[in-house]
Amino acid sequence: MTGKSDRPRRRYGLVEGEQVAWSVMATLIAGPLVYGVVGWGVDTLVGTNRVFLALGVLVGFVLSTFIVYMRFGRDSRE
Amino acid sequence: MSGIVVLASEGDTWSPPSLGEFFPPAIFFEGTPFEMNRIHLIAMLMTGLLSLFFVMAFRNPQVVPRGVQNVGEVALDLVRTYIVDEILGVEGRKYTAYLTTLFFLILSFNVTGIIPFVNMPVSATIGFPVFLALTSYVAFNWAGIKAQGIGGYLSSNLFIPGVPKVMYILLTPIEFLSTFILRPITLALRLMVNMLAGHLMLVLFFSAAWYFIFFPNSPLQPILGIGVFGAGFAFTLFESLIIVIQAYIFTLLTAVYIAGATAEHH
Repeated sequence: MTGKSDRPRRRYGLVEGEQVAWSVMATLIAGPLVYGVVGWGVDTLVGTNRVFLALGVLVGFVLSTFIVYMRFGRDSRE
Repeated sequence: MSGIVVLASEGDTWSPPSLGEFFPPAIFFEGTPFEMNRIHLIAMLMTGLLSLFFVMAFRNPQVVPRGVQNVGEVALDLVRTYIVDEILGVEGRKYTAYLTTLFFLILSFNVTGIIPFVNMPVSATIGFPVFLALTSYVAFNWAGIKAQGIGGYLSSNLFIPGVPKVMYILLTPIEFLSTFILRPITLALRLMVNMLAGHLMLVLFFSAAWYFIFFPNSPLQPILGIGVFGAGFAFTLFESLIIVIQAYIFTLLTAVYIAGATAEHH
C-alpha cells in the first residue's frame, strides 16, 4: 500500500464478491427484462398472446448467462 | 416472529408494526411540496450535527491535533485507509472528501434507528438512499468519463471484449440496463431495505415486550415479555453492527465503481 502507483485490484475479496454477486444479479434481471419487453411489444403488434413475451424472457436469460460467463466466468480463470 | 405477532395480536391494544411507521404525519408546511415530517427533521438535525462536527474539527487545524481535531482526523483517516487507499490507491485520494462525507452521512442517517426516543433510521425511507445513490452515480460516471473519455468509457462498459461484433446488438441493451440503470437502484435498495427490515424488527420486539409486560392476558406473559425485551436488546446490538456495515458497504461499493470506471479494461 505504500508504492506510488500501486492500485490494488485484488485486496478486497469480500466486497469484490459482493459487487460481483450484485452485478451478476443485475445482469440476470436485465436480460429477461429487456427481451421480455421486446417480446411483449412484438406480441402487441402481431396480436399473439404472450408467445413472444415468453420467448423474449428465455432469450434474455440465455444472453444474460452468456454475459455473466464472458464478464466474470473467464476472469477468474485467467 | 409470526408466533409473537399472533400471540400479541389477541389483545385489543396491540398491533404489529407496519409500513405506516415510515410515513409519519406532517409537522411543518402541510399540504405544500415542502411538507416536513419527523424523519425530515431528524435528517436535518443529523446533517447539521455532522457538519458542525467537521467544521469544529478542521476550522483551525493544528500540526499537532488536539481535542475535536483528533477525532476528526481519526474519522477521516478511517475512510482514507480502509476505503480510499485500499480500493483506489494513492491517486484516488482526491475522492477522500466525497467518500468520507458519504460514509458519515449514511452512518448518521442509520444510527438514528437505535438512538433512544429518536428510533427512526432516516435511510429506511427511500428518498434519502436514492439521492445518495444518485450522487454516487454521478461520481463514478464522471470519474469514468474523465479517465477514459466518453467514448472509451461507454465502450468499455457496453461492449464485452472477445465477443463477435454481431452479438453487440443483442448484448449491449442488457449491459446498458444492468450497468447504468440497475446498479444505482441496487445501491439504494440495499441500504434502504436493510434499515427498513432492522427498524421493523426492533419495533416488533419492543412493542411486543411492552404489551406483554404491561397488558398481560395471562400470568406467563410478563415473563415472556422480559424474554422478548432481552431479545430486542440483543437485536439492537446486532443492528448497531448492521448500521456500520451498511454505511461501509455503500461507500466501499461507490469506491469500487469509481475504480472500475477509471480502470482500463483488458
